[in-house]
Amino acid sequence: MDSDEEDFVFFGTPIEREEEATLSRKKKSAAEAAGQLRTLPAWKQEVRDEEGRRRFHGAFTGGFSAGYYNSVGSKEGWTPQSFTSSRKKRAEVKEQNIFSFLDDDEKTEMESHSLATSLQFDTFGFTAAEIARKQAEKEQKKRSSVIPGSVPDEILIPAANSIGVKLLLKMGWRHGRSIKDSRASSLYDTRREARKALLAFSYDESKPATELDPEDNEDETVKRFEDNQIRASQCTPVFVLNPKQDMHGLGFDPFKHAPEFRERKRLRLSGNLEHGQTKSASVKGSLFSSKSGKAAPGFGIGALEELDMEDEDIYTSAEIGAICTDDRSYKEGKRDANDNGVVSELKGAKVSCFPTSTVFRTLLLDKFNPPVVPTDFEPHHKFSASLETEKKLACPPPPEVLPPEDNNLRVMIDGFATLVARCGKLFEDLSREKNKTNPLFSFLSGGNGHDYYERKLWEEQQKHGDKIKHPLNLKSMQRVERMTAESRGKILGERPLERSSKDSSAPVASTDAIQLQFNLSDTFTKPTSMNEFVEAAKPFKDDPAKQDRFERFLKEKNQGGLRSTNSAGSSNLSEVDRARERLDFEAAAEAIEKGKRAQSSKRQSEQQFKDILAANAKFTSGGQEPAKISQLQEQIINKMYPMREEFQWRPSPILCKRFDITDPYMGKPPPLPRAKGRIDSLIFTPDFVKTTKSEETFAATRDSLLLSQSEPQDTSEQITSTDTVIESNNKNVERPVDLYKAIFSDDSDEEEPDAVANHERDLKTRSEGTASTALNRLIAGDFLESLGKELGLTLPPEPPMDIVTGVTASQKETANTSARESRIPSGNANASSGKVVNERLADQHADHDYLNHSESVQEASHRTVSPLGIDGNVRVENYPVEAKTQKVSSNADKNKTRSRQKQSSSESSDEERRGKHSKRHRKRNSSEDERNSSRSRKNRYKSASPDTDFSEDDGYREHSKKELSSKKGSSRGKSGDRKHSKRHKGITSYTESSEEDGYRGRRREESSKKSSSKGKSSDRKSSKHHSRKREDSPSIFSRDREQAEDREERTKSRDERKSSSKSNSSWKQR
Amino acid sequence: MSGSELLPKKEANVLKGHEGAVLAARFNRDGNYCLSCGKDRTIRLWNPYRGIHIKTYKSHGREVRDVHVTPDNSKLCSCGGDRQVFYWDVSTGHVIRKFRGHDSEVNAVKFNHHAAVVVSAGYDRSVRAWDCRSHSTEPIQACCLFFYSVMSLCLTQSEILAGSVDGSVRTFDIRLGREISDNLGQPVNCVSLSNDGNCVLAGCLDSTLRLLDRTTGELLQEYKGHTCKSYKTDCCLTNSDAHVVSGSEDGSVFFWDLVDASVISSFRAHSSVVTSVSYHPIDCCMITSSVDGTIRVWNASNSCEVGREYLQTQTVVTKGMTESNYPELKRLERRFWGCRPSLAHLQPPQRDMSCVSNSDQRLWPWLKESCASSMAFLVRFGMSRQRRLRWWWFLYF
Repeated sequence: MDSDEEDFVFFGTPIEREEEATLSRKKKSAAEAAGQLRTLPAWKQEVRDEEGRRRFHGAFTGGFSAGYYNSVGSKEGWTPQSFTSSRKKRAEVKEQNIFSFLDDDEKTEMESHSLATSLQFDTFGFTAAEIARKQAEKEQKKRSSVIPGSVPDEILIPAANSIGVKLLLKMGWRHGRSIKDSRASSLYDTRREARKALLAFSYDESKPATELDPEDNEDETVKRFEDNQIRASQCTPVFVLNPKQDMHGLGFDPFKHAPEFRERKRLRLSGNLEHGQTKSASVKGSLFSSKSGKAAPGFGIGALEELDMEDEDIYTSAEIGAICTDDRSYKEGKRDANDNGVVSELKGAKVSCFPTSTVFRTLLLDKFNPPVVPTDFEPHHKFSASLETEKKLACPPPPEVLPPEDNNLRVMIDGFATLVARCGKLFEDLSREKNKTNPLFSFLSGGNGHDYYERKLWEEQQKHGDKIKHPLNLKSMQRVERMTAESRGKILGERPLERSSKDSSAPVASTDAIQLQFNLSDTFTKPTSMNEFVEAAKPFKDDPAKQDRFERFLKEKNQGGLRSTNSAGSSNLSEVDRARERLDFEAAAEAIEKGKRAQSSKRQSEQQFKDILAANAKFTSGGQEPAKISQLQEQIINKMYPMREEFQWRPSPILCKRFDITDPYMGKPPPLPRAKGRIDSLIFTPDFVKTTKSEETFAATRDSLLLSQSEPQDTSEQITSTDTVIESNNKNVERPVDLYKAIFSDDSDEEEPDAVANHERDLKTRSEGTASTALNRLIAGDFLESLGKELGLTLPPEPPMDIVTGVTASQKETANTSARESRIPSGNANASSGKVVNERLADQHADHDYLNHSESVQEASHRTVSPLGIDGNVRVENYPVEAKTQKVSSNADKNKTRSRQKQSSSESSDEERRGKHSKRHRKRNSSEDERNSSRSRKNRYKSASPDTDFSEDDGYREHSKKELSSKKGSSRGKSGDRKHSKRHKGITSYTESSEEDGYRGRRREESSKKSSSKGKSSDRKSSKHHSRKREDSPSIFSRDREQAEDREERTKSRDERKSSSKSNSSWKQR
Repeated sequence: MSGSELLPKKEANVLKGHEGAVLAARFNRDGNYCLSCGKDRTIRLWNPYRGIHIKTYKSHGREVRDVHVTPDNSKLCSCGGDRQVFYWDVSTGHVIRKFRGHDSEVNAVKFNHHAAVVVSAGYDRSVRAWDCRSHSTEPIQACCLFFYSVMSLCLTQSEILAGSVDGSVRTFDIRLGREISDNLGQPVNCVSLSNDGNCVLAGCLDSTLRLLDRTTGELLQEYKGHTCKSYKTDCCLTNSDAHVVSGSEDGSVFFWDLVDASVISSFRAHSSVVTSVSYHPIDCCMITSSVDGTIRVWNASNSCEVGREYLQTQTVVTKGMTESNYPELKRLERRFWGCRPSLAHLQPPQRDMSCVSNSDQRLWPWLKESCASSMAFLVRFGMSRQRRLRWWWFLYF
């Protein structure tokens, strides 16, 4: 810069460039403005802008300092004082007080003397209210009002209470109380704590404490006092008097640098002395103290969130014991001294030192032995006759006696009897003694009207007893299953109105009133539906008296209204026992509550509930088995678990997207609610035992059927029923096929209750499950039926062949058995759906039997052509018709022996049937199968399970297989794949629709069938053939598809569901 | 792995730093680091082999009950008593998002395979899924089908497994839109998948581990001997699925044989309840965390074994690589790289390899992938060992 300047000659004064000039000046001015300027007197102050320049406003507009300190305003602010003419409005005479003559600083000085909550801390607006009130007063004085004179404060009070205060007041808060959620249960909690403490105390003494015990009373009061203190302390900190109890020097704090140990020590001390009386509080304290030191700072805890009991450090319990200070030994020493009789001195010293009662208490609690209470002492006065109405009820009623002639006496006797019934025998005794001389009361001591009195008393007691017993009898009442007005009322929680007793001719008015009150108080109880479970679960079964008391406790707890003061059963217990019992009851009630909640979920086993009860107050996690449960039960339980259930579950589309999975429910309406939507078809626990059993019964019925062939009508019905049985049994394993039957066959079954009674039972349970599904499908079924018909019309009619079966009787038998055996374990969907297809055809062609046989032959020929037997289970192949039946039977035999492989074998047999359609597919599948079967156990399950899971129908399964194989075959194009799938869609829908048709056809068919099982076995085969034929003619189908396009759109949803499960099976096999 | 698998019974390191109980300790995907969380409201990142505490993540307001890290080690998720799921950035330690929606404490949290979704399970009887990719903090899915607190989670490519105190292990299959519930009848504490994905191991509160077949729901085996009655203790299977590991409430760790359910080994690992057991994804290594505030790293008892394995690797390398045994080599290499502390026991000439890797931590995952192939490449050129190493250096550093 300087070198540059040397080369030039400058003339004149250079115009100061602002940027340069200001650089140095800015700092200076800034410093000045910040510090010095304020200190200078006003006339010396120069106003500069932030650049440090003085601004020239113009010679006539203020020069360098226009406005008020270079601002636009004036001293008063933005609005300068406006001129007010004194012509109309006279200058007002200001009220003068001392403040108007004082300077500002003097004012502040004055004000500092007055005590008031500064507005800053005026949380509840008391000061603000006061100020506002004063202001209002002031204004009121000035204002000319209609009412002359000053309006009293009571009339005009400004609304100064903030809305928060108002709300709080509405909620029950009063001035001076702490703003704490004053729960209704706080009192309850206090009592509970007290009870606990009492219990603990009594344990310490190892003697039953009594209510009259002065120490106890004192203890109670102390505690109450402490409770009060606690409550008060929530508002304002209370100065806690800490008596010096240790032997450290004055001011020495051993825990100065380790506050956590102090807490520990306190805990232990309190554990020793008060035994959990203030445990919760101390634990809370410990949490705060210990956490504040080491825990990481956390955000996100709201101010309202308190660390509650759940936040207790569950892990630290083990560590507490490890820490031991010398304090302990000191205490022990004291105890020793105690034993040696040095106590008295110590006592005296301490008493003089710490006169506070609490201190005294805490220190000397373990020094005094309580006064010895005689063992036979009862803390309560026992009445000679208690209100045990039940006993009275047991004794036989005195004979009916006519009322005495004297009406006065009658009324009196009536009234007296009612009173006695209410108040107990004691009343009678008392009045008898009192009125010995009174002739009016002679009926008491066997005089005139004594008999009538006895009778009346009995009646009254009966009535009274009924009333008392009534709520206890709820359970027995519930056995009445019919819903009457009473039971409904009971469930809703209304107390049924007492019927006016017929026998009491003239009830006394006073009694009536009492009764009414009694009724009223009981009118609003908790509904019995709530009590129900409580009643059912008796936690104190082994002690009926205790159970009784427990029930009463529950009743009191659940019921509103007046409480009965007589705690008859528990009165003979000591105070401690009662307290303990009450704690027990509370715990049990709580457990029951919990259990009840759990009960709402059906799957919650009773086991766990028992656990809870067994654990009583202490809720350990449910792992403990109560010792009561025997090994056998345990085994049963073990057998029961694990239980597997499957549900539909709809993942959200975005979840699928994020998991890179296509949404299985894409474009579908939202699923049904869970309660309804348990899919029967997906329950697939193969119940082998049951199946075999049904097999046997089936055989039995079949035998009887053969015997009673003279009545074709009945037998046919029997067949239907037995069929349904098996079908319903199979439903365990597969999709329910016989939907119509499941619903409607009940009627026909009832006609033959003896023969199929067993099946009936089975069926009923099953059909209940299937009914819901069936209903769902009914809707879709109707539509599909029509679709199937439409498709079926395009079918080329089967050429009728005049081949009558040359099957001998023995062969028929084998066919029977084979059909039966192969159908039950493995036939599943194949058999049924196949049959169904056939029956659909049977609808079309009247001559169905004929057709069946012809087709079976055709089928057989088909079979002989195709090379089969890839799977290890099916070794027999290339056999003529006769041999084939045997083959199936042998297959079934194998199935019987090797139940595990049943599924796979059936699968393979399916496959071989399917195989003709595409050899390539078949080969892949079979090789896949072989691989599957040769795998390890786990894998075997795998290969088997999809079969069992998702055996929806034949077409579908085939489809899935193909899908799998096509996936495997990478060379194949996608278009072909799609074509396949399309074709299959058609097939599946077709088969389904034909199912529906088939149900109708079957009855007719079966009634005219000579050998139903034979027919069925052949049915199945022929149907296979049919479906295959359909597959082979895609062109026809596609033509039709165009026709029924709109319908297919609707079926699409069905298909998609299938394809989802299909993908599952293929995926699982992978 | 070799036929007779070694069990990690030798204490290799103790990681101290947590104040108060450590509630969970988890390896990351490749097993080089581990994360722990505990009652002191912090999450800590460790190098378990060197025993180095790397980073502390503080933001939780309550105890942290579970933590999980993405496969690429870039993000964390954690949960705990403050009813939120925290989504962290690993390197900066900032909370990216807090997912709110659980009504109560959150017990377990896991990333899915692509780290796009965080799934959490809580005391509020629900399993919730949260989207990491959007900015929403609302759950994208909530499964409120449980009856009690959900304790543990497991995720596969398309499934969510959750074990609950109501005794059920539920599998939510996203692909099929199906939920499978296996009721075990006992409160389930921990669910853990076998490495082949066919079985699920459920730790129950009746001091029993139950092995279930996932496809059929059949109970395959029960493992007893440890105590697990009131604390949440983890269980898992070893890498080869040959053994079952579980912590116990008395501070010991149990090993069972998978097949015959016999207790193979048990040793006292901690002075207090073992809260979590995490097995190294590749190597024979294990970390346990405990209420006593420590995390312990356990190693195969015989460190020479690893060396021997490494020697084998070397011979394979020197003998020359063919395409066929390439995966074998790769596996061995991974095994070798996975277990670093044992390398200290190796002979000097072999250690130089480890020096290479020790120098730069960041290259680890990448190195592991490339190591085998590069070695094979170099071997094919017939270089000497020294030259090969030098080349290797040259090529990759």
